[in-house]
Amino acid sequence: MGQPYLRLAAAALILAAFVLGTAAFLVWFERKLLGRMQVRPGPNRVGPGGLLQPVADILKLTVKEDILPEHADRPLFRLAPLMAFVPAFAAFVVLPFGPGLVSADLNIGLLWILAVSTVSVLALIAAGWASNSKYALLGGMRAAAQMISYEVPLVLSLIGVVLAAGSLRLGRIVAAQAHLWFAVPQVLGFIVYLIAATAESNRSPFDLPEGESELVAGFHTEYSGVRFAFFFLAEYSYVFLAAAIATLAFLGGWSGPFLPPVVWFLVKTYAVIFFIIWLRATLPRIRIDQLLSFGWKVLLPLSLVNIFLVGLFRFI
Amino acid sequence: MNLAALLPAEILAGTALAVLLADLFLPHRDKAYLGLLSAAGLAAALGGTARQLAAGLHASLWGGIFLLDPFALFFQTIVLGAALLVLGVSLPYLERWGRDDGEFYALLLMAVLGAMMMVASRNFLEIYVAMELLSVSSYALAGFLRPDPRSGEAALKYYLQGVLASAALLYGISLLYGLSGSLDLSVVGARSAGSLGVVALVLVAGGFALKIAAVPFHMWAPDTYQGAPAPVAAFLSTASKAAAFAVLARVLLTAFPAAQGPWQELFAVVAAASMALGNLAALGQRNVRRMLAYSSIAQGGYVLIALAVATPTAVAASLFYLAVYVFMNVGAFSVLSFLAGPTGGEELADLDGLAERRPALALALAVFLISLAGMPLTAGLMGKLYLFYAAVQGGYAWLALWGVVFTVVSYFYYFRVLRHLFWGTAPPRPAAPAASVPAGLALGAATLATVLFGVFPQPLLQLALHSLGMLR
Amino acid sequence: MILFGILALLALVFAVFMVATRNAVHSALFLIGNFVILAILYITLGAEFLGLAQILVYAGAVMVLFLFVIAYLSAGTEASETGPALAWQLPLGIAAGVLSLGLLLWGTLGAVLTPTAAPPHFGSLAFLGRALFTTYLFPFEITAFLLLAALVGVVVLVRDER
Repeated sequence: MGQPYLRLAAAALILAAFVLGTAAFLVWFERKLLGRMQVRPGPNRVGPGGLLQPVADILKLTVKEDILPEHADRPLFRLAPLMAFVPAFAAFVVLPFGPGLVSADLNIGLLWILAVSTVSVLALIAAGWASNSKYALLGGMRAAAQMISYEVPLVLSLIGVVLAAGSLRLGRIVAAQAHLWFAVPQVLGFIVYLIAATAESNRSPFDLPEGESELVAGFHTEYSGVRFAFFFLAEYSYVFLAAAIATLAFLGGWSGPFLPPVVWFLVKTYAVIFFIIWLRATLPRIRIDQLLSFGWKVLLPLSLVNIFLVGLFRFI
Repeated sequence: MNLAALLPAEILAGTALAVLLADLFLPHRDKAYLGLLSAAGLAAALGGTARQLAAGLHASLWGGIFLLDPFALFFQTIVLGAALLVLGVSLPYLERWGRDDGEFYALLLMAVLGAMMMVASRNFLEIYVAMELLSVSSYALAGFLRPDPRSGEAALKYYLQGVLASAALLYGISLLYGLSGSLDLSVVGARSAGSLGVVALVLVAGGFALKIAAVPFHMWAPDTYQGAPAPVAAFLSTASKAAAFAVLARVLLTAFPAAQGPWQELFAVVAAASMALGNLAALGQRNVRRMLAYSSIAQGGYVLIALAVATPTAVAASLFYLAVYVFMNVGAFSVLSFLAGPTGGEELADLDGLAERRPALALALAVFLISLAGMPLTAGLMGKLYLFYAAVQGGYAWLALWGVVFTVVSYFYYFRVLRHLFWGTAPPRPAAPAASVPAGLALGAATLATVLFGVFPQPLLQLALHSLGMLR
Repeated sequence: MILFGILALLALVFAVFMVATRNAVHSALFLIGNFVILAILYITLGAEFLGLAQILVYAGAVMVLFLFVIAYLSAGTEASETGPALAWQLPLGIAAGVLSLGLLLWGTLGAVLTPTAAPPHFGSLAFLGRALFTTYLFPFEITAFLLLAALVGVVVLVRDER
């Protein structure tokens, strides 16, 4: 009786450590990579190659003052960072890092990730609204509009994968790609997924909710200290999640020759993350109206075409 | 699976989609073709349904979810007929308002599709979904002239109360499902004994009563009928009402025959209240469309007598009444739609001397109103006679007496309109626009039918009686 | 059973707060709380797909739109006050509420329950999918029309006039 709970608790602890570590590493990874792409060294003072820079950042954030804006909606202001982070963390629970290496192998794992991660949008709106600041509110509204618009093509692009694999269980989806990665037959779905996932995690060139040049920092303008760190954590968790799902659903998951499965999984995931950061270094931010019309008028029809094609091929 | 039996519905659905698509590509001056296309689709569906009715089709589809029996076909014919008349009247009406867009026709077709599915369902899930299709389309239709704030008000009031009724209906259905573990009408009733079953039945009945505009759920009707586009008001007061009545009758008579005692009393009270309130409130109205709305509440009350009495004769009489009611009520609303422009013109005073200005319209309106009042040589009288007779026969003499009393009350307001029509002095005003061919056809047909079924009611009554065969 | 009791109580608390609070954003968030509890209830009953779909659709999409509109229309302003014109409705509302509650209690307490066993795998994704695309194919298709009608209706009601 106690056994499964114990296992779950241990898994949760390990996951928590992993999420924290990954987020910290990703911050370094991104800054270093951006630095290289822009012909500058990037962080290089703290630790070897600047590797301990995120640790210093975290220390700094935890000791900073926690500022509550005047006339803010206090309970909501305090709740919002948690609402952003908890779903991101919960999504990790069903993520398989290798065969059997998963905290809870739900038979609807993919749906779990999608469903749980949508809750974060609420946090962004709540944060924007509770801050009692026009920049934050505008940022929150943009986040809502953007994430709702891109949620649809995102889910639809994954439906093609689910159709082809015949299951929502992530392990099955990986197993179904033993011979051919879904990225090959469903290249359309893969492209739609990558774009939509980048937009879902509010990454450049779709980082309008926090566009510095117009909104200061968007929905988390008024946040500081630990609460700010939570938003940060959530954002990087989603980048990792987006890349992990791309790996699992389109790039054959942990399968690959010679190396152990976990390594393959991480290598592929980081390759996708590299691509996402690359996008940020290359492309300028687009306008909100362009963003929305692109989502509804281009990505959505394309994802439907993908489903249609997959269905057609499966039927034949 | 018998897809051929569903051909009328398929034609309708296909026409709706075709209209929506064609709307994208047609230049604005050619939108009238969309109306004609819709009319063709409706006529085809009507022809198909009428043929099925004549052939006495009795088909059960998808394991009984969908039942095309004469009862369903009778009501489908009513709904399709009403929609065709409404469509004919809509063409010039929308053109005058500059809103002859394809969406109107598509929404109307989808509303009709919903009503058609609704009356042929034997499963609560299908009933609910189809009814929502009818409702959602109706909300949008009621607000179609939105620049006019009254049209927006019509849509909003109908929507808010409609949603409440849907919630009640869903709550009732969920209780019934919890009690019986099924959504099938033939199973639900047998397993839903006890007090919770009664509560569920009341909730479900409330959901349908809104569409009939029976008394506790009538509040939306005056504002919506007055503010909505006149053809839409005609549709809501006839086709929508008939469809809801059909479902209610089917639910009560096939699923809950065992619980007849309680719900009979309930509907006797509702019918009596509807007759009283509708007729009394209509007395004070100066706006003719609003008056017709209250009159429509009262007419709903007459029809509900059938559910209180719940004998085959009574239900057959209600079928007859609903069928002829389509002609007279769509007709009355249609005449008003010709008179009213965007500037109003539906007050009693606006009808002054209409007989001199537009004798044909005045005569038609007179026929419809006389029929609504229930005077000899009209279908309305025959309908009321059958209903009251069935009530007396079924042991509800007091309800029949109540109906007769309020019929007499109704003479006051119907005849007041006639006085304005024929004896009012015509104020100098620009003549109303000439009626177009489809509208003229629709109005002519409605007038003819109102008189014809008044003089020769027997065939229609026979058909109504025959349609009940499978229900009992 | 204990779990159900706790969840049911929580759902009720959320629902009451949703109605009671004056702040529209808080109200919406309480409603989301209620939806999430409902989703957990579905999951405890073995309908995982339904539960997650509930979160995905209601908490994730519908309520986001709600919040969006609330924030859009009433940023910074407090909830509307009840005017004197509505004062007489309060006792009537209470009376109607008590009446409905009484009716429901009477119904529930006197209920004759005949529990029937659910079919195996009831609520599972496969069961749901099969039911939707075989038995209930027809209502499913009608639902497509329903959504289309809603879509067209909304466009008709909100579009700019030429």
